[in-house]
Amino acid sequence: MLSIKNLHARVAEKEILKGFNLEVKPGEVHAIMGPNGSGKSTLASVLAGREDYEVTFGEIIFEGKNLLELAPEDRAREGIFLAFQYPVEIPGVSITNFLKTAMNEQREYRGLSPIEPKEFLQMMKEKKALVEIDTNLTNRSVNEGFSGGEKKRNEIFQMAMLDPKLAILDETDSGLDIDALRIVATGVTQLKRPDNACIVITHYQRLLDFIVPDFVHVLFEGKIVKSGTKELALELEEKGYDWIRKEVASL
Amino acid sequence: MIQQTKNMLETLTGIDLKEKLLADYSLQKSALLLDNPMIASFHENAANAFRKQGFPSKKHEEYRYIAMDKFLRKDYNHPLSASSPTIEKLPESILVDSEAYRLVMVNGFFAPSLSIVPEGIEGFTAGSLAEAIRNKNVTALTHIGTLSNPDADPFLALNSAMFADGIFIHLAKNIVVEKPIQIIQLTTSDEPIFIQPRVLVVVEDGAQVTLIGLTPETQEKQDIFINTVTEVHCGKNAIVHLVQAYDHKDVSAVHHTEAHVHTNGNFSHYAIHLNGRLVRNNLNIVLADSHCEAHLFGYYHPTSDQIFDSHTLVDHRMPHCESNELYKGVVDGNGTAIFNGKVYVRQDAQKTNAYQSNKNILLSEEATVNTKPQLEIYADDVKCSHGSSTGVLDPEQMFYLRSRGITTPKARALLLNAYAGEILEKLPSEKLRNTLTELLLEKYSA
Repeated sequence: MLSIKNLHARVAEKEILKGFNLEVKPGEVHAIMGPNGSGKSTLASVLAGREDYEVTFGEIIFEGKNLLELAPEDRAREGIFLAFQYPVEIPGVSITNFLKTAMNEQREYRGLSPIEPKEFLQMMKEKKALVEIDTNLTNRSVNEGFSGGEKKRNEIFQMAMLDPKLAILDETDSGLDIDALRIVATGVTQLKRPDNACIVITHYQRLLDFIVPDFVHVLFEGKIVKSGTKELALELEEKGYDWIRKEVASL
Repeated sequence: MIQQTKNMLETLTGIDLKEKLLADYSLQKSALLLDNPMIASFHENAANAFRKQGFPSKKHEEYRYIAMDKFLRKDYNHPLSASSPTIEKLPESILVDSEAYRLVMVNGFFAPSLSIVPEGIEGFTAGSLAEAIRNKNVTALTHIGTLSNPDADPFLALNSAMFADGIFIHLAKNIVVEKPIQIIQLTTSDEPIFIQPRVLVVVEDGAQVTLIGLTPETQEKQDIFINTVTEVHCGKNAIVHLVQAYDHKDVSAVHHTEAHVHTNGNFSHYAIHLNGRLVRNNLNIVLADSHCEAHLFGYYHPTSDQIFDSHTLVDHRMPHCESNELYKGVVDGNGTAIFNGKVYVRQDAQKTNAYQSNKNILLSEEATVNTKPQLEIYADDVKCSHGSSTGVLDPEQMFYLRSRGITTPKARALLLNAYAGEILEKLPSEKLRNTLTELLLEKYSA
């Protein structure tokens, strides 16, 4: 589904990703962990197509297409979804209007007619239940005045509505209390299917108690230095990132 | 050499038009005087005031950002009587309520066949201004021209010298008109015209009314200059909402509005400028007694070559009044927006609350905004604030929308719609709000 080969990327003249490789197949959940400044958020930004990140080398192929040639909106329409670490507030644009527009733009790209209002409302209702969002929230402007937890739940709600092939969760656990974490993680788990995949970017292991990954990768200084199964995450939790540092230094 | 001559001709245009209009004035006195000596002397004074001032050049402090010559064609015809309207039916789309009263002007002259006026309602008059003067309507004659001083502004002077018709609305004490009254300004001509409607609104104590003025696009493509003066008397405890919307690509308009608000009166004004070559909004509000409120909302969206200019003045003369002003605009192409907002708080106006804010979004490198808030405070126990900002669409918001599959033009439209929404949601008619929102969406995606 996704193949990243020898990816180098920089922001403001500073090279952050230095030879990043990753293969994701349908049905898989990959966790990418790493200390602060290792390049986790850069990876998310590059995948979503943020313009201030420049790819200097390497390739990203998604479902047979060169992702780097696609505009951010076309990446979304091809089936990529980024759950933002810091979702922006958009006063005056209601969540309902925003989601209906997004959904119909994606449908148009896929040659489908606009969604029937009734079907849309029904879908809203179902997906809201999934992340325990109440109607008051969806009548409000996008993220405006939302608490940290509400913003993250809103991200997963959008993910549920847009039903992407590949979801990238960028530190979705940051700033969440344990209840919000459980809600968010349950939502993500319920959306898991054999034909979609998920990349969970996180600093801490605790989210992975709820979203069980098939693979755990350790990102350090712009590349993956260690890959393993969910036990690797537990090991990191226990020992911290220092032993990785030492291991890398000894190479 | 040819270029030089052309430039000279252009700078002379304003002078030529001035002389032409003044000549018209002398010749057509009978058409203008409406057989009333009081109006005659009013016209006469104003004509002298205009003769003295002439059209403003860029040296005129209040018109320094507009090359007015460009809009003053010397071959403008100045119709002095109603032409038979070629428009037989109003387009439904511009009506906010097809059953509500509507006062339609064609080239500045009241058009009874297109209008719906109140009939036989005690204390409620709405219709032709010329007719009211001809019928010696006491309210019209005692109020016309009492609020505005022709020496204060050349366009005001010119209209006061030469108006031949317009609209007169009178609500006697405690009359409440539930549905909005529409004032529709239509134009039809096969030659360039300069028209000067006059609107007089007298809302007596405790009366309430919502007026929706609209200058919509018409079929004919001619140069049209509309120089309107609106005077509003807002009595004690009266509530007046006044919308002035311009959406006509071939129109150059100067609209001078003068409102006086009395004890506990509440006056709200909405200036919506969507299309026009030039739209200049001169809005003067006097809070003449205590405990008055004024609300001023504006939304302007000039694109290629369009100039939308608002000069507003709120004059706090007495204590315990409140004024609240929010003007927002989006400037695209090589459009120009000008905002000049004056607030005077006079010595007697203690306990005044006055707020003013002007916000602009520039969508292109060639777009221009000139914004100038001006607060002059002579009282010491007041709460006043003002602010202005000019920026671009938030790139973070744009990216967020695009990352959900929304294309750049749609994302822009969503954000601009939300931005304008803050003003449009204040409008006193839902239908108007929807109509304007649709017109704006067209403009965003252009």
